[in-house]
Amino acid sequence: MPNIKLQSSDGEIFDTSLDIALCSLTIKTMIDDCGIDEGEDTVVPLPNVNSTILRKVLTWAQYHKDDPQPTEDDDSKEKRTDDISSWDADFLKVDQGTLFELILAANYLDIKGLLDVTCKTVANMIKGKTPEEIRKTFNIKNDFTPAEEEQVRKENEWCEEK
Amino acid sequence: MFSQSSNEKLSYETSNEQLCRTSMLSGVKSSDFLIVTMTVDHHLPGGSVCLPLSRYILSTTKKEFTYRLRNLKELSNLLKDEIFVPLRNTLIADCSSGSLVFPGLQGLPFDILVYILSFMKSKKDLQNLSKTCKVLRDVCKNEYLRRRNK
Repeated sequence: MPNIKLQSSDGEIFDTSLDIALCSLTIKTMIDDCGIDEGEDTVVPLPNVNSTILRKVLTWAQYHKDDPQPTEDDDSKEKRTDDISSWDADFLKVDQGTLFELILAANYLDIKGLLDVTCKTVANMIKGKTPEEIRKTFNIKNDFTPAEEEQVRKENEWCEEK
Repeated sequence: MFSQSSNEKLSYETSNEQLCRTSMLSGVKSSDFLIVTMTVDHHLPGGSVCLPLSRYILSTTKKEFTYRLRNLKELSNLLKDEIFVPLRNTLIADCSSGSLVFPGLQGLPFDILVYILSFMKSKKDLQNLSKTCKVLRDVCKNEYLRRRNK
C-alpha cells in the first residue's frame, strides 16, 4: 500500500498508509475525484480537523482498519449502545471537549464506525439522568422562562401516560 | 501539587474597552481530600472539585515525578470537565451575551444531535433531555415526531 500525506488545520503533515486513510469516505472521494499517482507528493488538506484530533482519529482508524465496512443502517434494526468494545471505551476516556471534537471530525471525515461509537458514548452519558443531572454533566445553561418550562412539561405528558 | 494559590491577570479587549479579570486557582487540603477551587471574577460563579488524595498521589517523598503521582490522565480529564471548561464557557458567555459555546452538546449540529438521540430508545430519557434547554427540546421534539410518524 502506498502512503498518503494528510495536512491538519494547523499545518501538521501526517504521512499515513493509504488503507488507513481510506477509512474516511471523505478522503476516499477526494482521492477518487482527483486521482493519486504513486510516488507523487500529494497532500490532502483537512481544514476542519486539528492535529490533536487527527492524530486520535488515525489511531482509531489504524486499530479498526481490518473491520468489515459498516452496512447502511435500516431503521428497523435495533440500535444498541452496550456493544462498545473495551478498546474503544478506553480510547474514548477523554475530556468532553475532545469527545465532541472527535464527533465533529468523524462526521466531517465520514467515518461511520467512529461516529457511531462516539455518539453511543454521549447517549450513554445522557441515559438515566434527571434534567438537572444532564445540565450538570454537559454544562448546559437552562434558558427556559418559567412559562416555557410549563409548556415543555405539558407537551411531555405523552410519555408519562405509558 | 496545588498547595499554593496562584493569581493570574487575564486581560483582553472588547471593542476598544479594556477589561481586566483576575482568576484564582486554589487548593485546600481537608483530611484525605483536596478541594480545588477556581474563580474567574467576583460576579461569576466559580468551579470546584473534590479530589481523593490517595487516588492520585503515590508518594510525596520520591524525587521522580512518575513515582509521585498516578492516574494523571483521569485527573486531567476531571479537572477539564469539572473546572476549566465550565469556567471557560462561563467567561465566554459573559463576554458574548448568550451565543452558543463550542464544542459542547448544545453546540453540535442539529443532524448529529438527531443521530445521538436515535441511540436512545427510552421515552423517559428523551423527556428528561427535552427539559434541559431550548436547543435540546427542539431536537427531542423532532425525534419524537419522527418516531410517531414511522
